[in-house]
Amino acid sequence: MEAVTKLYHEHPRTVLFSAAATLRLALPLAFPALPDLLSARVEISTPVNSFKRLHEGIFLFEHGLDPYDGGIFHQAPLLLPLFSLLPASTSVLGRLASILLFTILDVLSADCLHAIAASGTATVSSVFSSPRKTQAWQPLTVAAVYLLNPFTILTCLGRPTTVFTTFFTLLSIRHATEGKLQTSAFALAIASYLSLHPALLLPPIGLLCYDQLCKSREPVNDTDGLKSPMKHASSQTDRPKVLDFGIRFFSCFLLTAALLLALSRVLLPSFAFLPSVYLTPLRVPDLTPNPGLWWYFFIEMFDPFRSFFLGVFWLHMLSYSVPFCLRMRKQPLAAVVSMLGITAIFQPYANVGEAGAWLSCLTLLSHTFEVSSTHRYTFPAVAVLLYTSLLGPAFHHLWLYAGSGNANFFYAITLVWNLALLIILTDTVYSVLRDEWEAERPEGKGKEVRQI
Amino acid sequence: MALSARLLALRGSPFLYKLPPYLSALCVLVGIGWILLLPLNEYSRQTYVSENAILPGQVHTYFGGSEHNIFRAFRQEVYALSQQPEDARQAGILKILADSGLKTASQPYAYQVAGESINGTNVYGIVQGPRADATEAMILLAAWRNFDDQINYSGVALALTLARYFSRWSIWSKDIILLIPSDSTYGPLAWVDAYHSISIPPTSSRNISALPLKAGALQAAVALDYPAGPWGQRFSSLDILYDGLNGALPNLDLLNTAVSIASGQMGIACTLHDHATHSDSYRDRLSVLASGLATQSLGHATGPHSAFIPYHVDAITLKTVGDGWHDEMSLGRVTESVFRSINNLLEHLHQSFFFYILLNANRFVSVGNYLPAAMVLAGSFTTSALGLWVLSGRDDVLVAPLAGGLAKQKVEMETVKLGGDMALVPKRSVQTIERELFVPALLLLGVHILGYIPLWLMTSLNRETLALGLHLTTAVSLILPISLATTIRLTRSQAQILQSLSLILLGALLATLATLNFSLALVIGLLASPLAFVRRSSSSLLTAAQALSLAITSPPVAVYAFQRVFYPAAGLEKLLLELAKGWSAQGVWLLWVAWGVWWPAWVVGGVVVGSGVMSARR
Repeated sequence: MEAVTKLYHEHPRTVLFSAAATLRLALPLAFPALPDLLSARVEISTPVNSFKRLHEGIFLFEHGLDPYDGGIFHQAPLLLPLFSLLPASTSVLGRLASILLFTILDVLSADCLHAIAASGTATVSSVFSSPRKTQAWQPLTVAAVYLLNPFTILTCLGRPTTVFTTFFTLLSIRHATEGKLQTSAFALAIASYLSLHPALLLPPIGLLCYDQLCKSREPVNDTDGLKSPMKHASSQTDRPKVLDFGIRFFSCFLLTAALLLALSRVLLPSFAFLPSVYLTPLRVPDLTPNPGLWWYFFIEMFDPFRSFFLGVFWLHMLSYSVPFCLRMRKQPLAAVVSMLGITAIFQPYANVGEAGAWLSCLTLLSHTFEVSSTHRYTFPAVAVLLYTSLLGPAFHHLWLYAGSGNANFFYAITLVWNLALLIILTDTVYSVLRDEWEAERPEGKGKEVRQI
Repeated sequence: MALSARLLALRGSPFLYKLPPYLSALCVLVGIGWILLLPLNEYSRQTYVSENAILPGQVHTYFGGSEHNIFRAFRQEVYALSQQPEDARQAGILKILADSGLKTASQPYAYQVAGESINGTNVYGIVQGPRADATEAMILLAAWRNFDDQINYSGVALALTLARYFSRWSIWSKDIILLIPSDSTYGPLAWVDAYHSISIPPTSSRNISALPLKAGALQAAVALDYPAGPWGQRFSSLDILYDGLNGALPNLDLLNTAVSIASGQMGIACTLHDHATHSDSYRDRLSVLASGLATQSLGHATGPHSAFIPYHVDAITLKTVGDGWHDEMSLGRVTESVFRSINNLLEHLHQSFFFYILLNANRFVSVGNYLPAAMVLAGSFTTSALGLWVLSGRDDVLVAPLAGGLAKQKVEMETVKLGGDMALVPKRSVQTIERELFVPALLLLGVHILGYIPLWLMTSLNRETLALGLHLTTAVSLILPISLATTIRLTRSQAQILQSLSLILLGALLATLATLNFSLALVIGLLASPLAFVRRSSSSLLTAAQALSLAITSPPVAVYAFQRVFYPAAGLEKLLLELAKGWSAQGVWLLWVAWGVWWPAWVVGGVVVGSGVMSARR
C-alpha cells in the first residue's frame, strides 16, 4: 500500500494512464461478448463510423475491389491500410489488438487534454485573465475525467472510427495552445479528412493559435486582472499580422487535406470515395437511428422539401462557428469547446462517443463551474443525461426487439438527451461570458441576471 | 409576468430547502392512491378487439361428431403411454403425429441449476399449411406435465386430435406446429430458444440441442392445460394465463380473441388468476389487479406460454377450472376458432395494447392510465436527490440562519477587489462550498459492485446451502452499513452527496424498469421508499427509529416476509431454489433488481443514517 501511494505521488500521470488502459483491456477479457455488443449499438456506431462497416470495407479492399462500391462503407480511405495491418477482428487476438489500438488513442487524447489544461489557456489568454483562475481543476483531474468517463470507455470498446477524429481534434487544439501553427493545422486537416465536421473548428482553433502566438510575443506576462488599454496599444505593434496568419493557417490546412486526398486516390482505383465519404454526412442518405436529431426528421420529410431542410440543418450548424469566435474572442479555448459541443449535438450522425468526449472537454473550463452550478441547471441536466442513457437502450429494445413500442419511444428519448446536452452547452456559454463580465465588473458578482 | 417574477424571487427562499421531503412524501402517496383508483370505471376500459382481420367467432367450427370418438381413443392412448418409460412415451407420441401426416422431430434439453438437473425432450410436429409458403407459423402447445406437475392427459389428447383434424383442412395459410414438451416451463423455453438461434453452445447451466425441423416466423401460441384423466372430467370455466417472462405481456388482441370466442361463441366463462367468482365489484377488480401485479413483478414463467413472449410471439394458456358442464369438445372448438382467427391475420399482432393491467377478463387499464403511478414513485427519489444536492453545496453555518428566516439577519459583507476596482457584496451569495465528490462516488461504485456478491451467492449455491447463504447475507447486510460508516468518516456534505447520487441512480433505474416491467418497478419503488426520507441526524432516538425502519424494509428481510406471507407451505429453501432457477434458466431479472439495484441503494441509506451516529459521537 505504501509503495502504491508513493508511486502515485511520484508519477500520478503514469498511474492514471496505466489504470485506465488496464480497465479498457480487462473489460473485454472479463466479458468477451461486450465489444461486439457495443459495436452493434446504434448509440455508438453510426453509418459513418461503425467498426462493422469498416470491416466490410477492409474485406473489399483486401480483395482488390473498390470498398465504396457496396454503399455500406463511408469512412476515410486511409483507415483501410491501417486496419488491414491488424489481425482479423473475428479472432480473440484481433479483437484485443483493435481494442489496444483504441486504448492507445484514448490515452493519447487524455495526454492532449492534460497538456491543454496544463497550458492554462482556458483562464489566461493574451487579452484576458479570468478572476477565477485559481479554481481551475488540476490537469490530471481533467485527464482522469476523460479516461474514466463511462461514455468514453464504452466507445473505446465499441471501436467507432470517430475516436480517431476526437484524437486528432484534441491534438490540433493542443498544438494551437502551444502556438504551433503548422502542426495544429495539420492535425485539424487529418481530423476533417476523417469526418468532415471538424472543419467547422477551423475559425476557433485558428483564433486560439493566433492568440497564443500573440501571448508568446509579449515580453511581460501580466496576469493580475485586466490589462490597461495603454499596454494593448503598445503590444499591438508586435502582434503577428492577422491576414498573414490566416492565410498561412488556412493554406497549411488545405495543403494537408489535399495531400491526404491524393494519397487516398493512390490507394484506390477511383475517386468514388469522395462522394461516399463526404457527401454522406452532407446528404444523409442512411437514416439508421442514432442519438442525434436528424434521422427521424428526415424519415418523416416529404421528398420535395428534403434538400431545403438539409440546407437549413447544415446552415444552422455552420452558423455558430464564426459568431462564437467573435463573442468569445477573449477566451478562444472556450470558443473551441463550445463549437465542439455544437458539432457533437447537431451533427447528422451523432453518437455518444463524441458527446462523451465533449462532456469531458468541458472540464477544461472547470474554473467557471462555480457559476454554472450555482446559477444554472447543471445538476438537473446531468441527471437527465443519466435518465436518458438508461431509458434510451430500454426504449430501443421495446421498439425493435420486444416489439411492444415504436420508433417514437426512442426518438423521444434522443430529443431529451439532446435537450440535456444543449442545456449544458448554454450553461457553459453563460458561465464563460459571465466570468468575462465579472472580470470587468466585480460588483456584479453573485447577482441575479435580469432583463432590463 | 407577475407570476414569473414571483417565482424567480422564490429562488433564494429558505422555504425551498425544506420542501423536497414533503414533495417526495406526496409523490409516494400519489403513487399508491393512483393504483387504488385504477379499478374505478372512470380509469379503466372495456376490452375490444382492435385488429379487424381477426374476426373472432365469425366462423362455424366443425370440430365435433366423430372427432369425439377419436379424442376418446387418443385419451386412452395417452393414458397407456403414461404408463410406459420416457423413451417409449416419446416414440409413441412421435408415431401418432407421423400417422396423422405431420413432419416430426424431437429435441432433448438439460438444465443444471443450483445442483439440480432438469431433463426432458420436446416432441413436435408440423402441419404444413396448404396455402402457406412456410414463412409463418402458429403453435399449439400441450405440455406432458402441466404447471402443477400433473400429467396433462386430456390436454395432450386434445392437441393430438386437433393436429389430426387440422391436417385435413385446406384453409390454413400458416403452418401449425404441435409441440409437446416434457414439462411446462423449461421445455417450451428450450424449444423457443433453439427456434430463434442457429446453434446454442452448451454452457455449465444448460445444454439444448438444435431443432432439426423449423417453420416460419411464429405468429402466436396457444397452450392447453386440461389434466383430466382417461375417463374425462367436465369443467366450469377457462382460466386464461397471459404473463410472460420478465413481465412482458402478449398483445391484448390475442387475449380478447380467446375471451370473446370462449364466452361469446361457446358460452364458457373466462377467469383470470384463478379468481373463480368475480362479481365485477371494486374489491374483485382490485384483487385481480393485485394478482396481476404480483405475477408480473415476479417475472417467472406462469405456464407453457411464458417462454414465447420475450421472442415477440404472443402466447396464452387456456386452463380448465372447476367442475361444470363444458366438455373437451367445447375446448376443442374454442381452440379451433382461435386458430382460425390467427390464421386470418395478415401481419403480426400489433394493433392492440402490449402494456395493460387486466381487472377481469373484459376490463383493462391502459398504459397511459397506470404508468404515472410507478413514474411518480421513481420521481420521489429524484426529488429528494435534487434537494439533497442543493443542500450539500451549502455551508452548515450559512444554512442555519437561512432556515430561521431571512428578514432580521445581518448580512455579512465582503469586499471584492479586482484590478483597481473595489466592490462590496453580500457574503452569502459569494460563498458556495466546494463539493467533495470523490469519496461518495467511489463508495457508491464500491457498494454497487459489492451487490454482485449476494447475487452470485443466491444463484450459484446448492439447494441445501441456499437458505444458509440468505441468512449470511442478511447478517452481513445489517452490519455492513454500520461498519462502513465507522471506517469511512463522511462529513455532512459528503453524506448528502452520497445519498443524492444513490437516490438519483435508483430513481433513474426504477423509471427505466417501469417501462420494461411496470409491476416490479412499482413494488421495488414502494419497498425502497423509506430511502428517500432517511437523513443523517445527531439525535440518537431519531437515528434508532430510522435504522429500525430501514432494517424492516431491507431486501433480505423482504425475502423472509415474502416467503412467510405467500408461500408458507413451500418453505424458504424451495422459494430460493425457484428464484435461482428463474435467474439461471429462465433469465428473469428479478434477483438482479433486488441485489444489484435495491440492495446497494439500501446499504447507502444505512451508511447515511449510520454516519449520523458517528457525527454525534464526535
